[in-house]
Amino acid sequence: MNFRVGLLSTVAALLLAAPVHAETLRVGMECTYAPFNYRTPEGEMAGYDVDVAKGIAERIGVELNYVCQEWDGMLPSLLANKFDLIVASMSITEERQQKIDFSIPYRVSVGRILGSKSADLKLFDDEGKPIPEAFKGLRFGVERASTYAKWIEATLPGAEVVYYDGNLSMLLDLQSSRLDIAITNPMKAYLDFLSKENGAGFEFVSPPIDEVEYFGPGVGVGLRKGNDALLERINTALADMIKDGSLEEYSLKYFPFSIQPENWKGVD
Amino acid sequence: MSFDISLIGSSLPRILQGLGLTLNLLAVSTLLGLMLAVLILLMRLSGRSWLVWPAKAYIYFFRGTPLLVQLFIIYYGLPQFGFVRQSVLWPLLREPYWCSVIALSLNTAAYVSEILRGGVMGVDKGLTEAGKALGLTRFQRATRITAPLAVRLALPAYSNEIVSMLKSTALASTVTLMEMTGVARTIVANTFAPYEIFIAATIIYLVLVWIIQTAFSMAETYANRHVRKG
Amino acid sequence: MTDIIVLENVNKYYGTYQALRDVNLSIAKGEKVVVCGPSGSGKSTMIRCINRLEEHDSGRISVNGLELSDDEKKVETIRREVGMVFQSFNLFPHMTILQNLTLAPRLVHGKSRPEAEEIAMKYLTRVRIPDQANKYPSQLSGGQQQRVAIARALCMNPKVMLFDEPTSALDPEMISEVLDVMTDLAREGMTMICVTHEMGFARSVADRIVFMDNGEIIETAVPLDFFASPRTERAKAFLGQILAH
Repeated sequence: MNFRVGLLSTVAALLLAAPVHAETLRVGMECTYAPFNYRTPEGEMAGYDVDVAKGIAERIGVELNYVCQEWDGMLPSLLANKFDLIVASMSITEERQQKIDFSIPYRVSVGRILGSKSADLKLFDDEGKPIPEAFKGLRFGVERASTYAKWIEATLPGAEVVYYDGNLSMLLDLQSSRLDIAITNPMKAYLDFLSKENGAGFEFVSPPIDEVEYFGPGVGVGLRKGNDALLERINTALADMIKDGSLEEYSLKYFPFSIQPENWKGVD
Repeated sequence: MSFDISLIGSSLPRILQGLGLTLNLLAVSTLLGLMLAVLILLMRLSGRSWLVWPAKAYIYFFRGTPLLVQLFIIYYGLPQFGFVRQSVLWPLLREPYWCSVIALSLNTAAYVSEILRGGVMGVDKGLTEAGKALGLTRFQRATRITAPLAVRLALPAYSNEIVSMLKSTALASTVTLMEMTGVARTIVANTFAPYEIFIAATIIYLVLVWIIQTAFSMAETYANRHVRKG
Repeated sequence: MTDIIVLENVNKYYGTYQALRDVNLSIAKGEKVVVCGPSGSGKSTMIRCINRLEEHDSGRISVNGLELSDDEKKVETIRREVGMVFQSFNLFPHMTILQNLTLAPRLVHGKSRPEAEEIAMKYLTRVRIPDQANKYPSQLSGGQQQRVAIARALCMNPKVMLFDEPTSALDPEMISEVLDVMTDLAREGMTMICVTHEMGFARSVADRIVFMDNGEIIETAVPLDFFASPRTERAKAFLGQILAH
């Protein structure tokens, strides 16, 4: 993690309202959440979130400074002014909106449940609704305080939930059979797990879960309240990126399908 | 950044839901660790090199590496091996609780065996000689003279180790356990209010440390009643 | 006349330093022997070899007919016959005076607590401090502690008592109370080997004086002869030094 910020960028952040040539925005992300935000072996920042951040920066004319931050400290760190923007695949929710502002969505937000192929689980009925009894006795992994966690707590109050700080440790526990099922981002699960040797014995055991009530309208850029001018500039840039096909283009770099809000098809 | 002091009060009862697990981890690990520590101490003091060297290596390893790394090796490392998952130990190693207890016990055993050894070394050699001169056997000298005096000498350092163990139980939160820190981190992730919640957790830890320290200082006073002039 | 302790050609080394050189000494039952000599002369090492707090490297040591060897059981048997009093008392600090005295009789002789306590009180009375029985060692003066240490050794009903500079750690005003107890003990016929610089005590109590220097026994004589006309220059020099004080 790197909380160190040069004097120049601090000054620049203070001068946000009046754009100058050297304006720099600090962007918080996990840096370990491939393919959305991560470091390449060469040490370069890459991923869908990074591309979106770069696209915005280009359009509003700022420099970017990446700050790596663990997920459960993401929001407090933004509030503590450790960085200026969250571009970290953070879903827009009402609860989060009480603390910070979000841009318009730049990606869809859904969850899917992973389970062992051999367990032959039937957890959802034909209409795609979860069957609470079917979850009884199953250890259910989820990232702490994620939208998935909110959905489980509201929908399946009796589930035996195990909370994780990161996706990696959760998938390791699924693999070692400490967990029976785990809910996560299907795009990530597909790229990092199901399509790899480690995930060979596993499959999605649920349809895409995307109830707006929990998952919100999608993933947005987060920023501290009271920065309406900056928010406006970011929203304009994003709208432009949706219109000119940039988001579509970024999607296809990482997935065989589009993940921008206008074109969600899901993965199977 | 707003600071909501009422959040400290309202989060206390929720964090206290993790108190049972925190104390459970502390008690079970301390007890298992103490038993293991005595075994390692006996190996170390045996004077036989095939017992001394494994004991020394054990102490070196567990004092020389971070507890968090030890915990991760046990929790994430071991299941990588198929035979571990097939073994009779798997039902134990599958549980984050037992992984935490094992890591904490193995770690504290290394420290406690050194603390106890310090105690044994501190016992006046003349007292053991007096025991020999009276015809006491090696076992009688160890149990009646060396051990009780070594324990008295080791008590202050041992109480520090218990306090340190209490703090170490927080690491169990990294392997999904919902002890006090695990609960606190979950509340933080939901409320985005790290200061208030962690201050609440800090208060509870400080109260526990105060209780432990007071109990040990009472025990020390009792154990050292013989040195008071009267 | 039976010799209760026999040392024959005993040698002892600490690394390359030779602490005892060909020591030969026989002590008869009931005999009181005072061992003296300059510091570092091997006096303490010699008596510590008798109950095997130190191991000798060659020669033979036998006590009451048993020869000392690596056999731990045999060593324990011999130690039960031999009481020892140390310079620094070595009372067990975590036990009361009574517990100090009853520990070995209970553990080694299998005596019941009342039996052991009765014996303990008998010897505490003999050393004139029965009223201190329930105190801890740290609550007693040095002289009292050393008398307790003597009583503790006596509780094991030993055949021989070894004293290793029993008054050297005491304040001057406490020396006589300890020497008085030792003198009483000598009168009762106890076999005693005593390393001490207390020449007055040696003169009045000892049957024989053993003078050591540099790990060797230089001279053995009855006190009258030793003090009046030491045969060796080294003994003369030592006496000159010690009596000048």
